[in-house]
Amino acid sequence: MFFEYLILLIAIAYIGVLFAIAYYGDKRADEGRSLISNPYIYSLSLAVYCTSWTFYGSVGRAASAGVGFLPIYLGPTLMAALWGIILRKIIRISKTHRITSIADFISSRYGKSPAIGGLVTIIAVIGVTPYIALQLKAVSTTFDILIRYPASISPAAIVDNRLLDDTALYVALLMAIFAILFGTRHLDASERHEGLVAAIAFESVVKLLAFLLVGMYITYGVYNGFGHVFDLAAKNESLAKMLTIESSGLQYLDWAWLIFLSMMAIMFLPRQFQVAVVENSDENHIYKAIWMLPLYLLAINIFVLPIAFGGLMHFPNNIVDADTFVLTIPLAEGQHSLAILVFLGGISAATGMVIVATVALSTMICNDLVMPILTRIHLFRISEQINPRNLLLTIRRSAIFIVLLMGYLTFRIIGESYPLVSIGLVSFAAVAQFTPAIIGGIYWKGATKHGAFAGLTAGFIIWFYTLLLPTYAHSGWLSDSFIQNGPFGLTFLKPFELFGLSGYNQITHSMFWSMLANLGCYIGFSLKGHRSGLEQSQASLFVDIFSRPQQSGPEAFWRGTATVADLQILLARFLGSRRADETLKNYAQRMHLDIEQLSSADAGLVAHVEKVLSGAIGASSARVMISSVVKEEPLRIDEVLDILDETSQAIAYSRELEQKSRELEAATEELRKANDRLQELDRLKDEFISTVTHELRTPLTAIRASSEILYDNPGIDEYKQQEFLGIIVRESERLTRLINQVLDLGKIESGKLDINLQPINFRDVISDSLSATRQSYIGRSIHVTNEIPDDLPDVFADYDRSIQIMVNLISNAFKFCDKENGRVTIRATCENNSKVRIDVIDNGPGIEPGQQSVIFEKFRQAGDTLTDKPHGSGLGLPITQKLIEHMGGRIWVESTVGEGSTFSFVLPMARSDIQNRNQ
Amino acid sequence: MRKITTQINHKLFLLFFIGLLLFNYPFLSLFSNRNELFNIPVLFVYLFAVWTFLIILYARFIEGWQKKNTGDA
Repeated sequence: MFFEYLILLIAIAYIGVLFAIAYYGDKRADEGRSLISNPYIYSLSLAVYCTSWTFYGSVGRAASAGVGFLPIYLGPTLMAALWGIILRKIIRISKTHRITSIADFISSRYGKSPAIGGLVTIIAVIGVTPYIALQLKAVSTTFDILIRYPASISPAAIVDNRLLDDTALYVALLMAIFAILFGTRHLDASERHEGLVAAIAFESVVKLLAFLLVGMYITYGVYNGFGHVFDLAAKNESLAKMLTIESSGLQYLDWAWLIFLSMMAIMFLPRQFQVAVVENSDENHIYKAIWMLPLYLLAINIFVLPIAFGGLMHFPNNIVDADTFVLTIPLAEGQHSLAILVFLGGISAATGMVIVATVALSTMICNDLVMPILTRIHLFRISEQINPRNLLLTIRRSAIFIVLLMGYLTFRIIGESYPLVSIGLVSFAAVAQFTPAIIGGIYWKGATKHGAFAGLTAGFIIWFYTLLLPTYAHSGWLSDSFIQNGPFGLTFLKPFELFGLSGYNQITHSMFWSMLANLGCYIGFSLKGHRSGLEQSQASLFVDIFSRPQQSGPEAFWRGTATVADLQILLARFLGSRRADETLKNYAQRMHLDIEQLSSADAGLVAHVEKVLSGAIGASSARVMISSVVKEEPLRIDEVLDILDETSQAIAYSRELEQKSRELEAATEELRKANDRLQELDRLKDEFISTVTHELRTPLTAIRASSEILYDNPGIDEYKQQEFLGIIVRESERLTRLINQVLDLGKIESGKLDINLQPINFRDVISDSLSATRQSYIGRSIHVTNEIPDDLPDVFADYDRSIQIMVNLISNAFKFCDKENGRVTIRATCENNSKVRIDVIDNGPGIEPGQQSVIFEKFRQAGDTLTDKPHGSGLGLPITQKLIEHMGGRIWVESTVGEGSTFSFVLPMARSDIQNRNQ
Repeated sequence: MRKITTQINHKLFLLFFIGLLLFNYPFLSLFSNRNELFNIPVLFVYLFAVWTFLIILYARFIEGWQKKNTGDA
């Protein structure tokens, strides 16, 4: 009896230490100097994954299945590598939306659906209850072993049916008290429990140290190291056959499924979600945990096989339950203090799991199951009469009690007939059902509420039928024939061989069917169904969490009005008035608003309050509470118009873009044309140069020939001498003229021509031009007629250039007019009261219609240039045309072959004359 | 920062994939026999060796990345 009290005292003292740590952690958190905000504590708190299952159960599993205990730890090792991708995203989403449990997470993703939240809660509670039962079983069994050794070591001796004498009941009650004290101490918007996490991390250290110590003692103290244990085992045929996968009773497929199951469990077990996501204080902590958690798992598993084989050899013929080897071997060797240390390690493993799990489950039960129902049924009573904070805390505390009570009952029903690991795997299979809804939810926007609901339901039903129900049947609570022959003798419904699928282990079989149904329904219903607006906005908020700036809420998707006072009252009800004031003040500070002057809340504030409230009572309940004080208004017509306006602006903008692109196309086309034209001009320039040189050579040849004759024949007679000198002079003049013309043309074309526009009298121009050209018709019978009215208005032109034009046209007329009876008429008229028209008419041979447009081109002359002797440089008319165009006029020719030609041009009238004429 | 996070995540994803292969059939079956290494069953040695190897690589990648990050800052 003394030993019993000593152990009880030690156990209670240990739990007292835990209380102290948790209290200190909470105190530090209140002071703002967090004890747990570092990656090492975070990694240790994740080790809450290692429960009694690991501490006692792994050895039991290894004793019957060799390395078959390992996949449960290899899965998390692999999963850890993906945390930077998946867990970081889940944490970011949860922090942004103040999500406090896995049920909240899933329900929030699917449009804050209370149905989904409730379903997830139910699955989690039913799924995790056996897991809690296994912790109770482990603690009570080991306690009994410790105090009654050696009478109690055989499995059969442990059974104790008297309720008040049952250790497990007291263990359950003690754990409930601990969970209530530290899990529901106050109502927090973020649901973080720093003290609890500190205690959990401490427990992780204790259980690891205890296990390593006992492992080392058995491996190196009882035996002589790894090699020795395995050597002895290899000589024992019943042990040696456990050293391969094939003989461990597992198939490779089972192995793979176990890895998958544990990969999901490390993320989605409610307690893992609690420590990894909800209690996370900095998302960068996960990176250290990626390698530290696997390291922890490796360390706590390294001695499992040696202990298992050592135990099997130490206690042959199964006289001791292999689940208890870590305790019974030291006891058998008389190491009582080591046994007590192991017992404390076991308590650490069990309490850590139970406390975090019950706190997580109670939050879910309260926020996602009870509150949504209460807010709907008794909306008024809750929101106006009872103090909701007390109500919430009461619900949570009751939930912790109820969950632990359910765990205890489950332990009483199935505990004795199942090894620890088998019970735990049933729970793993249950939470694996969350996988499609969560992973799909954060990567696939198309996933819908209906899909998630259908998938979860289908997976849960199959899990329940193929794993949980048979467990109860095995324990004698249901007829065993249900397993052997199927319900009502329907063999295709046998729970372990559903639809005739046989040859697999129960977990593999159940996982295959449940995941198939779950995933099938999830995808199928999602593709088929349509989504509400809230669902769509939540989907994009979740999936695109990294591409949004932090703190951006769904304000844009929602509108409503509320008074700040109403929101403050609502917050104060759930958080207390001090925290409510703080919340509003912080928000006002962040948005640079003055809360005192703010009477009606904008959509941003409403969304913020809803988010804060979600932390306390869950997303769907917060939604209901908010809508009880917020008047959600239908969009008014002017707002609809605003939206339309925005839309039309967007459309206009896109039109503008189209227009721009069309303009760009046009510009490109113009550029292309300009380029073509440049190439054409380049070609013309080359042609021009070769023509000019050709034209220059003709007079040069004549000059040179005449000079050579004169040079070679000094005695040539004077008359001939005169003739040749005359040729030289004429050809030199022609050369000079040609060069002048080329220079002129060059000036005109390069735009360097000096033109001095001013009102000039064209009669003067004509008479000056006639006197300048008089020489060329002296001695020829040419009759010049001048038909110029006296009142010819002034022309706006350059005087010298005008003379150049007239001289050109008149000398052309003289050149081509009839040889015998030449007649040239110069006529000036006034056109349209704005222009002056000049005609120069000759009675020459005329120009053929085909040639009429050609003569204005450079070096082109009417007639056949090959046979006829050229009459000029071929530059006169082009220069004339260019000059006229430069001065704003136009030139053209009319001609009939055999009757003569008329060259006409118009020039603008001087402005003063236009006015005079119009008056 | 974002880009660097992506990089480390890609490296870890590769390790995840390698681990998934090495911890499953058929690699596992190569060592599932009764041979021994230093008196220890080869399957036991193989599993713990791969496990250790993965943890060391995780740690090296992450610690190297974090050192570089804080060095830059």
